[in-house]
Amino acid sequence: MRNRIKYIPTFEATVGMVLAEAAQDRFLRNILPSGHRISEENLHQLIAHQVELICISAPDLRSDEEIASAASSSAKRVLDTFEHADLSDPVMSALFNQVLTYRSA
Amino acid sequence: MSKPLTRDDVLSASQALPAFPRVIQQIVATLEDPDANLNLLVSHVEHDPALTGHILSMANKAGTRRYGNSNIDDVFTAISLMGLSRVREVAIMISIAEVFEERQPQTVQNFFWHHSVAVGVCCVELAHFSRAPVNVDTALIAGLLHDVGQLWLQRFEPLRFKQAIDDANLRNVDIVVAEREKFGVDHGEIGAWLANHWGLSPEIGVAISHHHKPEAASSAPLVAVAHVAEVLCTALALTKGIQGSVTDISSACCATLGLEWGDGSHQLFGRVEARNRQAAILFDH
Repeated sequence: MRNRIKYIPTFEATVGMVLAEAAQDRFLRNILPSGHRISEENLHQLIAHQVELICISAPDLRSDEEIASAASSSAKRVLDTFEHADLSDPVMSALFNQVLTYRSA
Repeated sequence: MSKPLTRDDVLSASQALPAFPRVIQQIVATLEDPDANLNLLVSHVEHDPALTGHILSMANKAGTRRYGNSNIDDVFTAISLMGLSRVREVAIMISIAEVFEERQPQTVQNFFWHHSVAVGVCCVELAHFSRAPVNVDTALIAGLLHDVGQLWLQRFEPLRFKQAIDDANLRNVDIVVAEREKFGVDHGEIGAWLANHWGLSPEIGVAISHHHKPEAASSAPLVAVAHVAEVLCTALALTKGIQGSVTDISSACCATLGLEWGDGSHQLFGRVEARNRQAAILFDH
């Protein structure tokens, strides 16, 4: 089973979610470690420490065909967005590549 | 080009707009004050009934949704739960939304507001992410107001502004080029006049003025943040219902922020999208 990494606002967190990165407060102090499965008590902890965003790892339930189709649609949208960009510029090209791989994941 | 717009034209027409919210200046002032505390922020918030309502609503959404506690009905508890920085962020967004809401057609409001919030939250994440010294709240204000000059044009010069947009689309040129031909100035300059008139920090005016063409001021971190944030919002298609086009990104601005588009970029993109969703619930009536 593949997993997808996703950032979410803390208010969307639910019991059982697995952290893909350590949950940090705004002073970058680790509140919960990477790989930790969130419990009811952890939800209280995240709010108490005013953690705004967390990164979770969730099972990707899509079939291979669905994944390929979604990646293809996303890639087309990114190509359209960068249609008038000068991709010979190294900075623009690097940004384009990162957006493309991000959207294709 | 007919008679070019001047600063006086812009400022005298803007008298018809609602006064710029005083709470913004008060909140920004607390940033510089090491003694600024919860009580001071509570006092500022409580002077604005609409803002108080939003803060309480946010606190209840954030806190009691899963606790099932009794409602939070005082600002002090709400701010304690949400934290000073989050409350400042919410207060800034709500207050600036009031400027946008006045006397604009709903579709215009929606577009400008969605786009401005997206750029604003992107500015916040870039301020966190970059190595440059950028105050997060200042970055948020610059992002929320970066296109306020376009809002002015839409409000006071709607026909000529539409012609400028159509012209830019037809010739595939940057909107600031078409605006300069039509009005003698572009929306960045108009926005900077307004920001300065409202007494905002000069660096915010500079960032608004240069967000499309940052070359002359790319070493200023806030200019770099505003420019890159707008590019990133377009690249990630964060403005609801709008498929924009990325045309330029200033390498000098990226260098100012210490940004290299590489392995760490997905973290930035993910956080920007999540923060954009978080901001959306503020206006989810």
